[in-house]
Amino acid sequence: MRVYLCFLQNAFQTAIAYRANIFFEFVNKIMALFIEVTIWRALYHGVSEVSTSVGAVSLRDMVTYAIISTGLSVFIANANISKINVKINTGQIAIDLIRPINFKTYLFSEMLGQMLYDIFIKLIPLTIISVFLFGIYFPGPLSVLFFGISVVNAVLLNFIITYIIGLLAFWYTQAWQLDYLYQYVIIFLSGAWIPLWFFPDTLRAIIDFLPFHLIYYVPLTIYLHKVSYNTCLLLILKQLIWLLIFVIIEKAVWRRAVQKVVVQGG
Amino acid sequence: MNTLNLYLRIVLVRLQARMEYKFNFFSDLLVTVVTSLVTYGGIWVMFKNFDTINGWTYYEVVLLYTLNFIVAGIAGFVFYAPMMNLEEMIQTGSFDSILVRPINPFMNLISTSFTHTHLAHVVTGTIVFFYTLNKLDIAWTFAKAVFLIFIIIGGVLIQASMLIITGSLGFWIIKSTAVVDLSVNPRSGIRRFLTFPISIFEKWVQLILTFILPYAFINYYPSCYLLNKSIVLFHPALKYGTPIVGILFFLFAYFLVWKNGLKNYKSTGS
Repeated sequence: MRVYLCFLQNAFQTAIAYRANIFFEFVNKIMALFIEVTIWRALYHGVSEVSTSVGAVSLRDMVTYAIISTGLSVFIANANISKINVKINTGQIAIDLIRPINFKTYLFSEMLGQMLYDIFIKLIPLTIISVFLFGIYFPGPLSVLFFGISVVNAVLLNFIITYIIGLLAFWYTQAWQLDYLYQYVIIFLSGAWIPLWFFPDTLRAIIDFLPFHLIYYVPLTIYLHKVSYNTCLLLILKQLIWLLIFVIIEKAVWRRAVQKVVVQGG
Repeated sequence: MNTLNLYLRIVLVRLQARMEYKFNFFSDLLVTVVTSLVTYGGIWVMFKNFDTINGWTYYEVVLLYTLNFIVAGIAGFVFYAPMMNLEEMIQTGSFDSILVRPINPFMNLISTSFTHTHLAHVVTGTIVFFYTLNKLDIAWTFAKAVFLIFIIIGGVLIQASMLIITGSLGFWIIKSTAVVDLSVNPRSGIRRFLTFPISIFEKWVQLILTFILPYAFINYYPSCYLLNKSIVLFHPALKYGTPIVGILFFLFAYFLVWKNGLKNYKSTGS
């Protein structure tokens, strides 16, 4: 346990060391949010509400959606896929495998370190600025509780999915493609950009069948109180079931992956 | 002209080299095509729920975005990789090798690399472009068709200039790659201002995008021309501005920024 805490601390300190990156990432997020809010305001010009499958959606809902989604993206996203890819391509993976540590727990503690940094350095200032610039909707305490739980599940889900995709680099050497593809899949199919209640029914049915909407859309609908408390519980249960499925898949993939290791040169 | 010929030959040879790995090459392109559909998908979903944005209809917005998309694809193919690499070349000292060869250092740098994935953007963009033109029912004249070519060239020059300017920052500051990314990345950074008509933004944003970082000439003003929009920001004559702005901005980027950066360059000597 101690050793993983060290990894966590290490990742936190490494992140802090790159100050120029902090600045640019921050500018980028604020700018993206500003653009998103402006787009929704323009779309809602002369329209007070849009009726959808979850009831009427107002401009205030959409502004809040954009803010919370940007806030979540600050710390939910992780660098697992490219990290594992680099380790495999450089042969570093061999050293990671002989170490008396669990590879997954090691990556997980690094992600937590990075996440703590993201929350303190980026999320908190971003939230304060957004609340003042754009205004935000605050839900009741029970919604906040469910939202919190679903966010934790979302982080875990995204970790396990990216971890499995990362492991695929053992077989598929063009892993940057998977990384790139996943980033865009997340933008569109998870509801991170546009809420799924705006999607046409058939597309929506397909998306509901996939696990990605559990990462952004579910916490966001819970926050905006677009579903009843019973549905909230069901959605959280759905997250947990998918998490379980992925844990089983991960075990199977990992077992085959370690047998597959080919270290080129050294 | 000679250097241009040389560049084309180098690109052709490199492209052939990359195509040797057929699976990698085409899977790269395929992935790029799929990911580029995400923004189109987003616009499509938005217009399933809303009729117009600031008076622009679905196909008009698609045309607007596609102009930006094609232009960034062409400029990115040539300039993205060299400008992204410049920072590292300066830091490691490998930029020296660019200076000692007997051709123009700029052309030399440009011919060191290119990104083949941007080709996929150009191809997808062109298909969508013609599909959209067909849907839009634009009254075509000979002059309009010719001017379209100048719009594309002008737009490419503007986007290329942004890449050259941000890349050249590597001569003065350390983290220039982050700035390059901020100016070209389709999903984050300044180009996101161009997905919808810039008329949706506040006045100060429009002023910046027109007169300081002239991104609006890449797609907003030319689209106003192509679509015969009656309302054009600031002045109707700006509709025709793209080619001239492109040339001026490129001259600025090359002579004032790149040349000065080159003068400022001191080898790290490693």
